[in-house]
Amino acid sequence: MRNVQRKWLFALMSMMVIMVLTACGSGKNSSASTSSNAAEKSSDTDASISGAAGNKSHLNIALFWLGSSLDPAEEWNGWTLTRAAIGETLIQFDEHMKMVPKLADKWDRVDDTTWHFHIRDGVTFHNGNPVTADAVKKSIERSISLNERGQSTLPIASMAAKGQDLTIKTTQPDASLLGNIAEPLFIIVDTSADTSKFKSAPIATGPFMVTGYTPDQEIQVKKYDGYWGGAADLDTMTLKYIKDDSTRALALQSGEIDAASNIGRSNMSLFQDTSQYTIDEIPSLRTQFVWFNTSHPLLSDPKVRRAISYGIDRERYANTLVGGQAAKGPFTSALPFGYDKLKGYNYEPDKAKQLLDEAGYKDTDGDSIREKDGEKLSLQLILNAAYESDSVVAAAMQSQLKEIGVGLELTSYEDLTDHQKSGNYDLALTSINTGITGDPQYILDFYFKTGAEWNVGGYSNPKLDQLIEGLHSEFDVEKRYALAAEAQQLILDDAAYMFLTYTPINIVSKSNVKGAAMYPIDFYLLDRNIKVEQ
Amino acid sequence: MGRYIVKRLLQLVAVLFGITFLTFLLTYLSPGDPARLMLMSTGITPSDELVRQVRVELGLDKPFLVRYGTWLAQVVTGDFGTSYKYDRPVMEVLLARLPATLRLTGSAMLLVILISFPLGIISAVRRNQWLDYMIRLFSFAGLSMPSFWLGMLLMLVFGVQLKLLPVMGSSGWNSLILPAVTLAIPLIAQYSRQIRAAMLEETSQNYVMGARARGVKESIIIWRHILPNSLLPIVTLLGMTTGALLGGAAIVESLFVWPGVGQMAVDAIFTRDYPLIQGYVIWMAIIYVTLNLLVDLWTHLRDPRIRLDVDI
Repeated sequence: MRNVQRKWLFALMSMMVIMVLTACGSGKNSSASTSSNAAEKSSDTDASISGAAGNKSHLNIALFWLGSSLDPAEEWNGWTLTRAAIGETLIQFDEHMKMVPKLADKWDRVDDTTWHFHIRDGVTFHNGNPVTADAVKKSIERSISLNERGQSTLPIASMAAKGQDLTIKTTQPDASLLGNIAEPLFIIVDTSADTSKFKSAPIATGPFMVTGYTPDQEIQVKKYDGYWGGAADLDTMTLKYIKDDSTRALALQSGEIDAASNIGRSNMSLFQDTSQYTIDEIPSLRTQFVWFNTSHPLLSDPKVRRAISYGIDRERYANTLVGGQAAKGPFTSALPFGYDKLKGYNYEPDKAKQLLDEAGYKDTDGDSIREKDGEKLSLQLILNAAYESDSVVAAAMQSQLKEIGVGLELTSYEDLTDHQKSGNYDLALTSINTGITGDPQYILDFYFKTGAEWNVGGYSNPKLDQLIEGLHSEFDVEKRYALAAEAQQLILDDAAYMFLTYTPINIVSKSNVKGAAMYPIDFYLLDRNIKVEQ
Repeated sequence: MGRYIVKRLLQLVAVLFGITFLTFLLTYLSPGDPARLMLMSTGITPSDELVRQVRVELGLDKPFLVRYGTWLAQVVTGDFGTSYKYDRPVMEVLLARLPATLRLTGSAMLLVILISFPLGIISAVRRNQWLDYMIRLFSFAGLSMPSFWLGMLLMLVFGVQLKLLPVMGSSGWNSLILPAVTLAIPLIAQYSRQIRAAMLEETSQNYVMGARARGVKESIIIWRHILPNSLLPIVTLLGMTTGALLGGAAIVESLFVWPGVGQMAVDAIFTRDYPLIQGYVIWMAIIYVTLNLLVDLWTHLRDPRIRLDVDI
């Protein structure tokens, strides 16, 4: 009853307010504008309200992140350009995370430190200039000089350009060069143009070119007729930055935008009507990760770690709590590093209890938490307060582990770094992007090797170190993947980490929008195939 | 009066000094390293080496007092530093965002004044009649609704269901309506209650009874005496509310993708963009102190019994 009254009052007030505002807002030529002609008026601009698809061959797309400018050489802005199909790199990842030709149509490794790339013929920049090997060289040099990430990921000793042929020499054998050169930092731009304008209008090679940019708000693009892969079907797009999850979903429902990625889990149910919306949802490269602090006296026993790993139901977390897929190892099934070959942990509470019995933990005081030598098997899990999916999973773990007699105390922090680095935790939960370079080396080196920078749980296995070391000099892609699979299995056998879920990513579009597909690596989103059906 | 204003302006300098030092200290003490946060924005954990490089670049490796001193010396010359996130001068970032906030705040305050005064007056004059009950019910409802919830409800009704207004952005004037209304409704609720209370309190004053006894017309009593006198506390309140709104209604701005300073401030805090946070703090302090001064001057002019130059 109160609800009804409230709604009624609310509607009444809203009407009053609208009348006041229409009366005092822009009195020029809309003195008696009713709300409906207000809507008509605004459809001249791009904020069309009643069905944006009414506009011929134009789409409004929501971006969930927008960097500080559009210059791909600065910070992570390149990601926006690849998402918006404005900029392209030499090599790209496909939907299986395999490397496919983009601006380079052929490449090969001459020796351990020399790579040769052939730049595709007939490619032009948005200003019509041809893309030669020399232009590519200068563009890569620019990215390296402007961005410290460039210096650390591409250890280039020298580059030589001749016609369409580019030769890169590295300072040391670098098997991950191909994956690194696919990072949007190395989008190829025309450095002979006025680069000072690249912050708002970069000259790149993609199917769409920038026509307008408002920092923090939106990018306007139109199709580039001279695109080497054939001009796009769609004429123009407005890419709007909408950070708030709920607003993105509401704007999609109201028709102000036609497609949006990263629709929150709680809002997905709004778009189940397939006559109106198309959903493309896949597991991302992000893995929900738990570190065991192996220097903790209780956790130094692998039996305890294995018991905990058997004591949680990843399948259920993935199916009911966060979506996506239950995790086996560190790398998601979207990465070709041996996911299928791994033997991970399932939910087997009986096995977990048996392992704890074997390790000597029994509940003797009847509080349903096991103990040994008077010490309770009670642990602290730290997690990041900002990630909702981490919080719900942590709570589920807490109650499931209690069933096998393990106590878990949850503490959330805004930033786990300091606690992890100082070893001031028992278990730490966070989500990590494991496939940014399309290669297993970076993550294995960084998290699992003895003494590695982010091996903060103190885990050490000499056999694993050897395997990871071997990766550095193995250039054969299939053999690299096999080594990576072997390394992952060792990590799993030692149960030094728990891998919980591979979090999902999605793109939801109105059903008349075709060609919107989600890639596992989230620096791609749109391409020349995006179009709207009339 | 002139001396008073000068004194207050000098006070402003002291206030600015104090709060910038405090915010500097607080941001310094808060967990989260801006260099790391900057690098982590994409989800990959950066190497310590890279974080160190960025820290040196941002000058974060220097001791706290040196950093504050450097910053202060710059500010005195009018240079508020460069935002980490935008890589542009702080002043430029702030000034680019101010017009949107001014537009939103102006509209919201206009709505508050235009609606809450009539509601409050009616409510007081028709005390304990059905109209009064209705208005009080509205106040109650308006005050109980969190603004993000109210905003989403408005978006759902007027944007998604009725398709009358855009749910986001700042492109046409009509995109101003929903965020302004969202900001205004809780304030209207609050103000109409306060105006009602202030008027009722005034009504019980002896001079009102005296006027009534002398047979002065009720409408004259209300418009000439009760209303002007009950305005005083309300204006003070209005000053503070305007200050808060100009600081940016962060939630509403974020929700409606309104490119104002509120949204910017939240982002700045989240990314530990120290120079931008400091610039924002200065802006907030100046607004509050100035509005306070204006309100004090106004109340003094309205009622000279409220003296300005009491010892401060």
